Amino acid sequence: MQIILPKAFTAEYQDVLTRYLVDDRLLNPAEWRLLYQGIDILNTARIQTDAGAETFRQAYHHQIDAGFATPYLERLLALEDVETQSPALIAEFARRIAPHLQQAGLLRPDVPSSRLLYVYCIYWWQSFARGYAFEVQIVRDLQASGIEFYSHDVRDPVERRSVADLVVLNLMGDVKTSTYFLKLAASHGLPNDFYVTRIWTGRRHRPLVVFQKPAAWKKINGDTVEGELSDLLHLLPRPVKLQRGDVTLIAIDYAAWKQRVLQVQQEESE
Amino acid sequence: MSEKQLTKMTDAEFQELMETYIDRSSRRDDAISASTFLELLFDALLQRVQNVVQLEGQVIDGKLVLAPPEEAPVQVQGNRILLGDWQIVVTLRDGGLQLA
Repeated sequence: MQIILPKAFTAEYQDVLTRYLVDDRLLNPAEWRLLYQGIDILNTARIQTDAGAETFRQAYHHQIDAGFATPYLERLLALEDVETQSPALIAEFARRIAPHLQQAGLLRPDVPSSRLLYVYCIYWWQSFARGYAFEVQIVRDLQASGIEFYSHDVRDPVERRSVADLVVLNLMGDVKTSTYFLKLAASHGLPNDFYVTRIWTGRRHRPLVVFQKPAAWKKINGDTVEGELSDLLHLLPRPVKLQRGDVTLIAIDYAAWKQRVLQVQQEESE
Repeated sequence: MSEKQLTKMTDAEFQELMETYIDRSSRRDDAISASTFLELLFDALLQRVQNVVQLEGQVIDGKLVLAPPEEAPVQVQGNRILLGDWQIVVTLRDGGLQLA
C-alpha cells in the first residue's frame, strides 16, 4: 500500500494538523484557515493498493460513512438525553475507526503516512457524529417548544443529504456545529435561509445562535441593532445585523428566535 | 505531548495523541472562539466567489471528457465533476459542439 499526498500538502499543513489534534484551543485564526485548507487538500490524497486506487474522500465514504453512519444514527436517536449521553456514543464509534482501517490494510505501521488517512477519517467522522448529535438536540428542543416545523429523516441516507435540515415558516434552515457551519460556508456558501449553531466563548457558556439572511429575518421581525463582528456576544440576545463587504447576516440568540417564530406561527393560525 | 509531526511520532505517541483527541472531540465541538468563528465565516463568504477552478475538456467519440485539474478541491471522472457531496454531470446536447 502506498499513500500519495498532493504536492500542496506541505509540512506546514501537517504541523497545524498535529497542533489541532494536540489542543485546538491553541490555534489562532490563521492556523484554523490552514487546518481547513489542509483537510481540503487531503480530499484528493490517493491510496494505491493492489486492488486499485482511491482518494481519501472516497475511502472515507466506502470505509467509514457507508458502514458506520446509519448504525450510529439509530443509536443516537434511541438516546433519551442526547446532550449527556452522546459523547460516550461518539467516542465508541470513533474508537472503531483505527481497527477497521487496520483490518482493511489501510492503517499500517510500516506506512507512516497512512496515519494521515486515519486522522482524515477521524476528523470527518467526529464532525459528522457531533453534527448529528447537535441536530437531534435542536430538533427535540423545537418539538418541546411547540414550534411547527418539518425536519428531514436522518435515518434515510438520501434524505440525510437534503439541502435543508429544517423547514420553519417556509424558511429552509440547517443545524450545524460551528466547524461544519464554517466548512459549509467555505464550500457552498450559505444556500439556506437560516442556520442554528453554537458559539464557543472560551468559558463554559456556549450560546446557541441563529444566523439568518436578511430576507428570512424580515419575515419574522425586521428589527435589528447594528453591530461589529467583535460586538456580537455583547449585543445578544438582541437581533444583530452583521455586515462585511457585500455579506450581511442577522444573528440572534436561539431562545429569542424561537419566541419570535412561535409568535408568528400563532399569529398565522389566528 | 511533543508536537512532532504525525508521521514522525512513535506508535505509542501517536496512539496517545489520538486517544486524547477522540476523548476531547467527543465531548465538544472544536473550540473556535466566537471572534475567530465570525472572522472565518465572513472571510469564507466573501472569498467564495473568488475561488475559480478552470476545467478543460474535449469531445472524444461524441462524448465530453474533462481533464482532471491539478490539486483543486474537485475530482473529475469523464464528464462528471465531484465537488463535496455533489456530483455534476455535464452532457452535450444532440449534435455535440458546433464550431463557430
